[in-house]
Amino acid sequence: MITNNLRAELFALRRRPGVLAMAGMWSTQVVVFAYLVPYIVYLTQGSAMAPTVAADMISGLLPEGAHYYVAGALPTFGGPVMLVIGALLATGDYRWGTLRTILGRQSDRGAFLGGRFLGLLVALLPVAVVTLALGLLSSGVIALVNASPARYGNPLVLALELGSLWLVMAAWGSVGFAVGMLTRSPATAIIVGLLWTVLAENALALLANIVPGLGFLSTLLLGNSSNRLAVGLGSEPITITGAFGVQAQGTPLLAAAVLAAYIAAAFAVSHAALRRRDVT
Amino acid sequence: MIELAGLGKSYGTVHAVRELDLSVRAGEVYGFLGRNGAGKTTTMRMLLGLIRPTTGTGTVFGKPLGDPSSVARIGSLVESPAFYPHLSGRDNLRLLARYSGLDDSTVDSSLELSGLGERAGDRFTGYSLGMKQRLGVAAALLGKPELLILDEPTNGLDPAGMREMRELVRNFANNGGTVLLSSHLLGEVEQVADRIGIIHSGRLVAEGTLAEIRTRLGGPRLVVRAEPAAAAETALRAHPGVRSVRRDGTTVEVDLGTATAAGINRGLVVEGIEVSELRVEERTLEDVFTGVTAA
Repeated sequence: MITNNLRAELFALRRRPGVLAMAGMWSTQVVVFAYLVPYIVYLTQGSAMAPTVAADMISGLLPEGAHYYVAGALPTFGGPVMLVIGALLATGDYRWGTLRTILGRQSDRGAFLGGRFLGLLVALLPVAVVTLALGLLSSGVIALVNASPARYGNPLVLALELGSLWLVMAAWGSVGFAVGMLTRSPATAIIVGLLWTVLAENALALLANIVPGLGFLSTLLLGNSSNRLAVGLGSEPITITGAFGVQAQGTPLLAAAVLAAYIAAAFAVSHAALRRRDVT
Repeated sequence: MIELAGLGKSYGTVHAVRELDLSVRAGEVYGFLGRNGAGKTTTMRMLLGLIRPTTGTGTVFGKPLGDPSSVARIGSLVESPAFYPHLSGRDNLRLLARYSGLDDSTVDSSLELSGLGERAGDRFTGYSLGMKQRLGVAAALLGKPELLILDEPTNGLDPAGMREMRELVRNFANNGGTVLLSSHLLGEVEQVADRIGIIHSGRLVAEGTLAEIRTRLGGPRLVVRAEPAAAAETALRAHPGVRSVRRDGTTVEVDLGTATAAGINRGLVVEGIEVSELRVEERTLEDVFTGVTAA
């Protein structure tokens, strides 16, 4: 039953202009804000910068650091985009009244929700691939223009980075989906989701930093865990400021586990919301 | 096929449906009638498991309401048709077919039956009300359901479309299918329904064939035009077996009860009343509906 629903979701996803537009917007952001703008800044202001700052800047833009650099942009810019995609997927049927058309044909709500949630997770995989590919491509072009060597990272590291990208995207998308299922309104879901991830998480992180004994709280936050995966796959616990000024604590394994927990919790919340709700 | 016992749905203190007992038999067209807000759509939604009853029980195909295995055998159009506006009619149906595990080949036959074939490639958002309704019917027919639940299926259809819909419903039943049909167009229901149920303020107030309900409400009525009308009214009220009499100008309407038209004619002539017209009228579904829901 769930395979039928997943088949339907993937069919619908390929034809959803809102979701495709958001994915396209994120791809544009990667190229423009992660590569084009910084490279223009480097070209125009590089000579005025301290040599070490300028060297750091261009090294992040070259292929060797592309995998880490692209992922660094994700929590800051990509996370909210994925949250919006999740919210749009969860609320579209409430907006168009199509939930009753679908559930009036097949009333297994668990299978419907499972199919839709899996559809979101599957759909984010090509987005992650395109994100990494754009990063590699953009950095290759910069290397060519800058006459720098185009040394791409180890394929295994790239594969791990791709997995990290997908996990971060899936966690943000899932949170957006769950908030969408709870609120049933795309605008409310997006506002609540962004307020939580941008304001509430930062406030909690601040609290965790200043209140003794609450330090562990930081490692449980969506933003921190995303950042921790973004800044590198080293196994040591760290507190680091990575690309785009992101703050991160903990180990990558813990971060991955936290993000997976967000995905599982988002599904559980969505299921609980839909299971008993009257569809009118 | 459908059995409901004491079914009810409340929203706070508002009772949308209360103590509803209803039975739809396999192979029949059941006309489900009621005024706006009587509880028809709520009942249909409960049959599909879209909303949960607050009291009572029910089964469809012997399974509890909303059971996935029974809903899979139902085709439905409840309230206004709702589809994805950015998809074509055909793609909307292909999507629904996938949810149900059906082959794409079922889509074209449903479109054909609903009469939407030529415009199936257009986006749903550009459809007229009638075309949306046809797409809703096409969706209901996907996968050859055994039971059709149709809520006001002729909404927005032109007269030719209404006739096609009537034929579609009748043919569906003639081929062994069962139809639960609600409509405001009582004449439409009268032409296709084998039995009717009338719901009023959330309760079923009448159920049976039209003939059975007519009889229950007093059978045929006699229209008498006579002079002097007041004397005719008095004589008719005194006539043995007559159930009720109502005068409007020179016309007197008589609920015959056990009396006969010939006996009444004889009685009026004996009283010296001049009878210019005497006509027996069967009660229409509208009369029945008005009589039952007047309270």
